[in-house]
Amino acid sequence: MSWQVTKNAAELCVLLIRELYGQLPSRIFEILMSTGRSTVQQLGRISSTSLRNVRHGLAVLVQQNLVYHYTDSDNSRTIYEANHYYAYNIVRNGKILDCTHRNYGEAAKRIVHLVMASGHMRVGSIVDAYLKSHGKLANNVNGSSEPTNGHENGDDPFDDAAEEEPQISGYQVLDDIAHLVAIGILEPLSPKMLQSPEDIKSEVDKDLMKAYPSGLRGKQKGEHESRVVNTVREIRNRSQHLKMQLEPTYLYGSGAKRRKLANGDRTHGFSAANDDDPIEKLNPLTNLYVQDGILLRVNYEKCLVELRNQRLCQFVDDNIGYTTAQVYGAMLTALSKKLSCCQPDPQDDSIDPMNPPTVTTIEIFEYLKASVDVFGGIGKPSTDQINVTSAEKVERNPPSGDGDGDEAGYDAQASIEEPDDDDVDMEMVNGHHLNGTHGGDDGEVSGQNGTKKYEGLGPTKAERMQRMRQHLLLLAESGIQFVRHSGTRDQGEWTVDFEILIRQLRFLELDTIIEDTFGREGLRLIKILRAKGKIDDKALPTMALMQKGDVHMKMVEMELAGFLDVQEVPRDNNRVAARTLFLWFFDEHRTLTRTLDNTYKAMVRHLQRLEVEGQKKKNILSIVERTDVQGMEQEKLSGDAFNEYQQFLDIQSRLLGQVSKLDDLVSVLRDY
Amino acid sequence: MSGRGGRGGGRGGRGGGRGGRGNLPWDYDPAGVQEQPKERYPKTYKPPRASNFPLSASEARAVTYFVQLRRDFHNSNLYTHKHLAPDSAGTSSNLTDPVCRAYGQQQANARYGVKSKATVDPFLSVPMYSHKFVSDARTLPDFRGREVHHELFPEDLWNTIDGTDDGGKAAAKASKRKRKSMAGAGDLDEDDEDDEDVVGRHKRRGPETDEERRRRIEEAAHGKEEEGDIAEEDPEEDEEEMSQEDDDFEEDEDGGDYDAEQYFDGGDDDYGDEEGAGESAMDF
Repeated sequence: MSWQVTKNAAELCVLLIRELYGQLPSRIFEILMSTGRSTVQQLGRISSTSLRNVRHGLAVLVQQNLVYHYTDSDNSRTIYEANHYYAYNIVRNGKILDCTHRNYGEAAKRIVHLVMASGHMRVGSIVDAYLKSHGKLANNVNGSSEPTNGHENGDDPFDDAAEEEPQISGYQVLDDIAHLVAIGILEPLSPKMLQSPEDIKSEVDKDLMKAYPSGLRGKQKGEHESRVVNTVREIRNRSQHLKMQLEPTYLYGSGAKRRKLANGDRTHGFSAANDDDPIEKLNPLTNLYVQDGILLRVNYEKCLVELRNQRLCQFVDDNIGYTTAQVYGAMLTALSKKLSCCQPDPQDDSIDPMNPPTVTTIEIFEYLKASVDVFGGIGKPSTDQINVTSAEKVERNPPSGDGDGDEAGYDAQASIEEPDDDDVDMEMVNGHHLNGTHGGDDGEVSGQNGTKKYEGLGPTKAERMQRMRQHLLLLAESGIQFVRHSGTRDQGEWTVDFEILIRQLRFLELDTIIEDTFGREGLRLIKILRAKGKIDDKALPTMALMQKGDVHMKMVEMELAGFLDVQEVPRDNNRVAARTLFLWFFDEHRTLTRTLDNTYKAMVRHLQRLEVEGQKKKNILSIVERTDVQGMEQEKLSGDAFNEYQQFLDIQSRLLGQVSKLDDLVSVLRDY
Repeated sequence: MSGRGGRGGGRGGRGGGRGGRGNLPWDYDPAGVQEQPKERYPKTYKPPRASNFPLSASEARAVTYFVQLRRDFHNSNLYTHKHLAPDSAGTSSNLTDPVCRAYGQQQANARYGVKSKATVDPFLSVPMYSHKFVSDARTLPDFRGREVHHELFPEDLWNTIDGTDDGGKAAAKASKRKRKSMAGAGDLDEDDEDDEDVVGRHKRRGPETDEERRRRIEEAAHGKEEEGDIAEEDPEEDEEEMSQEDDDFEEDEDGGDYDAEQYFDGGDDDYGDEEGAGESAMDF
């Protein structure tokens, strides 16, 4: 959550705010970014605008969660501070909406859209606004501007249901909201959350210090520290209460089951015929927790988890194959129920890095879409070609840090687990053994998914699950550690060591950049340096199997671009070049920050370009913005004007698309 | 001995001395750089074209959703239009270039044109039928008729979100005399009557408990609801606002030579007055 705000990043945030929220807030935000914490009066003086302007700008920023504010209880001055985290996330809004739409359906997307557009919202007004906008939509041409038609599977029954059924009850919306809160995409907002973490901490610190009027000494200091940390965490977790109350119903219990039936896109394509019944039953529960007055806002941390899942799926798709990627997607969805953010706070000791959350095969299977044909996408070697012991190897502990140390740990683990593996071994080979041993589980699973129908028609559930399991094993076996097979409970427990995996992904992105800029030789040299650490200038050419001159030229080129650096170690007092060792090295951290900064800059350029293009087509855009034209451009505009408008739309989508692609890069390098 | 070592260090260090360069085989040789003018974009460089990398379905959807979101917000009352300075307003044309660099706050502010009677385009300002479809360019967000939650906003902004923030102008006029007699008129907070009010009240009370604060928030929210109706049926407020922002000449509004009412007040202009005048020359 914390990252360096460079000049380019600050500029980017300001441009994003200008693009979405208009000129006034962006100006105030710009000043807040450049001067840091300030009061209204200070802002007025620096910006040389009237205080009225400043206040209005700030009000919009507060409404959109873009500033922290803190009122000192002693002198009751209010200090404002820019929240660059939220400002940057504006760029992801579109992606988050897309992701919500795909994973949770059209209704969920519309709710998130409403909340996003107004920063934060009361539950009651979300319901009102939703019903209002839905009524409008129903009267309108059936979703003419909605891009849902190109939906990937095209068989999203929930979508259709929402479009055809004009009357949607407030309860149903409430139910959707509750589901989003349970997932964590929406979070309850409390005034405390608009204070910067530092302010909260210092306030808690001050409060607790009252207990020690004579100051801290010795042991008390450590005690005090830990109490501060605990209180701060408690404050932060307060917003989680509602989520925890809703979780059992919506993520694990009957709500989840019903939702899957209704949503249909995740399970076996059942339509929600008897949908109304469970809703009526559920309502009291929902009403109990989700009251009208609760304020909600979008929780970008959780959204980032969802986006990361998407990115990792893509990664698997590129590396292994489509079907396996789908299985991996199901696995990540199951796993992300237990994750609230991508990079857990190292101070938070409730999360043990040695024991990351795991999911079992059965849980994963619940999330596997029916449309996925698990029988494809994987070869069928004969039994004697498989080294079952190594395939089924269980690694209980995450691999230690570097990639090098892995193999040693690997073998040791495997040999310890040997006795276990023999059992699994058999299961794996003929697969059907499981039917007998886990009969109870089977029944339960089919009940939950409501797919009894499948039996006798095609492959049984157990067969499907078995095949899916093999995809998971394939993932675990590949050179990139997508998943870790961490236990054997419930036909196997799986987990992902995100830190290691993301690091590999990060290197992949960096490698692509390096290869594009310096060619294959450059990449080869950098890979050598990364593997070996610091290397003497003289040893490098032989190692890279390249000409000395070529190596030197490349190295200088990359050093000038800031990817490499050289360290001099003189061998004696006379620091002559001939008697000095020159050690080349690759500084990962610096390369990352540089690349990030360049990416911000590129994004800034794209947004500026968008503004210029808007200026060029000012005349046509002013017509399009008229209330009578908006939404029906094609009918109202003359041919030429419409063509011109189309051109602008094309340019805009390219520019915004490129910005979001660049954001993908930023996410990988910084946030995931 | 030590002297020699020091000298050697100076020579051998990377970039430390020219003498060391010859010994480094890979060193960057500026002599090799051609000093002839170059093509700005070398012919050999073929930038990737966007058309070769079309957006995937999901990316295209993401862009559409973003545009939808943007349109929704732009249609709401909180959006402040970009309102870059118009070309015709006599400013140099490059001010309208969104990428142009601005040096100093004044230049940055100048980019946002002034919306006043002086800058109205005479050819378009005559009321026309089609104007009813054009939303007015908004320079200040309008919180009226909007559900706001006072507990999330600091007290500084309560007047603003209630739609009663008129820049302290009304209050300033009413209490002008009182203000002049007060000591320390140069204080910065002075220009801001409503803030001062809140602060003063707060100070008297001393640190308040959470409960008190909550009650106050509720009171504010409640009061707002009552006021809401009044505020909404007050359309001329906008016009008044408009006329207040009329043009730069209004600096004379208070303290000017021709302001007969104020003429005998001594004409002293404290900081607050200046700010009040600056208000009228608001820079958007």
